[in-house]
Amino acid sequence: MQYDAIMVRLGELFLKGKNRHRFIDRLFQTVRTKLEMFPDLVIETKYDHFLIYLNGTDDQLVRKQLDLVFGIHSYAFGKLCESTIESICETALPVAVEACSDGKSIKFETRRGWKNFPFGSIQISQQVAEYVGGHAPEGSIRFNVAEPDLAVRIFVKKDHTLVVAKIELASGGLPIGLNGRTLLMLSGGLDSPVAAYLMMKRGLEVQGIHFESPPYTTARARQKVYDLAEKLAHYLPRNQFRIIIVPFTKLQKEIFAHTPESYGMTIMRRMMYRVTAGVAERHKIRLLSNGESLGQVASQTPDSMWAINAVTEMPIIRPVACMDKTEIMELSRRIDTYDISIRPFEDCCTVFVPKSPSTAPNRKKCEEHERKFDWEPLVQECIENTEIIDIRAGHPITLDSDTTDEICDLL
Amino acid sequence: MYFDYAATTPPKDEVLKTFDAVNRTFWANPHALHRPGTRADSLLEQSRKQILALLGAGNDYTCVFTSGATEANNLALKGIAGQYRARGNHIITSEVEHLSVLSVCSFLSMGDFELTVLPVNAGGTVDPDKLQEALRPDTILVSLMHVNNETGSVNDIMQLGEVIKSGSNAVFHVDAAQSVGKFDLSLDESPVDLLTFSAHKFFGLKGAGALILKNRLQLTPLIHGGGQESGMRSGTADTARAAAMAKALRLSLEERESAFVRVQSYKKNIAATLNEIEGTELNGPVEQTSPFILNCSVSGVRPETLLQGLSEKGIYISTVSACSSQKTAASHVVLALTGSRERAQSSIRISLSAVTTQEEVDALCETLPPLIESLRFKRK
Repeated sequence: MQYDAIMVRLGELFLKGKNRHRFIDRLFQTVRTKLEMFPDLVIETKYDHFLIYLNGTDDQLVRKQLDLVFGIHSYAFGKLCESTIESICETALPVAVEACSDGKSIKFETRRGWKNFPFGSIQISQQVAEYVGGHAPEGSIRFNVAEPDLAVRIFVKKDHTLVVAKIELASGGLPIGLNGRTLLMLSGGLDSPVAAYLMMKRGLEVQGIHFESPPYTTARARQKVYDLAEKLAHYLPRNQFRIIIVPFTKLQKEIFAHTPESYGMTIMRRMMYRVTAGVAERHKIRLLSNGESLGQVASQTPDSMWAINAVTEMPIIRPVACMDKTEIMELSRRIDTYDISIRPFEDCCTVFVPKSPSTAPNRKKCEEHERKFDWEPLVQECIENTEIIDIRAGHPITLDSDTTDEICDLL
Repeated sequence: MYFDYAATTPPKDEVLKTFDAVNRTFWANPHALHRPGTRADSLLEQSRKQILALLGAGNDYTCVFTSGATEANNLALKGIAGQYRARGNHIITSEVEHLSVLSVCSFLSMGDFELTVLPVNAGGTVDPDKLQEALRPDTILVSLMHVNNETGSVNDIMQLGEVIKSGSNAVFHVDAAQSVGKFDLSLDESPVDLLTFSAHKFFGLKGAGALILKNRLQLTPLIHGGGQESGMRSGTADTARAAAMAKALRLSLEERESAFVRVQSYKKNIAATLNEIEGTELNGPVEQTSPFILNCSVSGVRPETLLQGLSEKGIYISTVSACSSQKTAASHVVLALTGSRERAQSSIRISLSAVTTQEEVDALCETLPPLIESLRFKRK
């Protein structure tokens, strides 16, 4: 069936009291940006929903774009008509016939948003059912009011009525941007992109910070982060994901020159947290985050977290802390970052990994080891010499673009 | 005039160009970490991606480059047998498989594997009911070809796969050497776990082939070493051959549909001509088989003689399959199809391709009847 319109029903926004209109404005902007590519659409914002007039645009293409927007509860696809009982009846007839086409039974369910409509919602359902029963071809309609296979919903609004053929759930969550920003430590592995997704879903605008140690890490590690950023950019309202790259080589070498092997990793993480906090400060970001998952590696035990986290007072959230690896993998497949994440290139965390890192480091000992060298200027240097790259959705950056062109010609 | 494309095809100019260019500009070891190495690796991986995409294989599949279909078949069968021995020891295949499958199976059956070799019907295909009956709880592998290299019979891979998947936990391997590049394959919607093919069957280079397999499968490698190709096939990868194969596959698939229709009409022409000659019998039906392959038994003439006679006139066909034609033997495929040793010993194969022309087909059709007639006369 060719649908006239999609009614985009909003999510948890009603919980938000006075800020409601701000959320809705932001969400409306985001929806507009995501649907820019479809010139024929007309989008209207209503009290508790957006109405998208399709004007012939493919509803599934529109839906795919809308799936990238958080803060939408569900989509209702259907036919539009004037808010009069006559035109509602006429519009409902073909919708009902199609709904019953596989031998399914239906009932009508009306939501009367416009209280000045001359009939109550139950009356509307009854009248429509009567009309449909009387006008549908013999045997093409099966009613079952108690236990229908499908409910054909009728949304009566002031300006129009939508007769809904199907309702599908949207991505849920909250619109991005109104809950502020977070700086996410993005290594390139499986966990951090999933963490990014989960936070974006709860309305946070995520930026990534990536530590790079050339020549110990290769350009391919950076390419990996660029490619992840491109995937994540699709969920952001401006279709753009910011990556902050930290030149970490000098500091990292000093750390490993001055600390015993078993503490190297812990102290490296402490330094990374300091740099991250410093960079966040500069960009006025108040919340740090990372993809740590409990028990996955040595740095992700409670003792380690205690020893490492001590270097900053900023709040740090760890969205995947309690997820199983299999759950993380599943989600990363869904958001299309899995294949990028599993590319086997060294990142900073894997370069100098000791054979047996301490899983129960002592905070005091960390401080003792750190006193052995002058790390503060090096941390400062990292904070000051960052490189900022904004990566836009649909516009991946290729580091070795000459090679890419050559390869394209060869194949 | 070449009518032996099922044996091999001439590499396309563009394919040779890619092969040459890659050997000049991307010759570094793709496993090396320096820039030339990473460049070569990018090309190798892009080739892999392109091949998977062209075969409609999404994220669930991976591609291991091999030296050809024979190696890929060996790797698939021995690899699965070795890896999943603990699950069972029963393997199913069919009578008409290529020797690179049948020989591996009989090799495995000399060890502790049990083998069921399914018969084929008169059309040369495996009957789903027979397959159903043969499945056992300890069946770990079923290997059936898509298109037969001697007769062009086409197994219904979807249906056979459904039988396997609904009736057992066995892995499904398909030798698609004669269908990749010629048939429309979409692995994502198929029940196929492993698929093998060779580049030189679709205007690529010899020495290049691949095994496509489901990600979740593990294989015991044939070649141990540096762990390249996800550990399943060690040795420095041949970037140039892989790229040339990816290119050859793309080019073949771009003209696939038009070529298919054209070759179908050629096959009908040739079949009609052969049918009019007394004492010839087509092995396998003309319809519902691959238009690229036609098999026929000619009584009263030894197939080698017919091959020589045609060869003198510049027309090249084959007897049995080229891979085993050194031995003077009956075709095991034709024997399985017809049950007649006589027909199996007198079969010839005419195989066509996207570059076969109407003129060539006309010339063949004009030459065959009088030649067969005269050769039979000589024999008296």
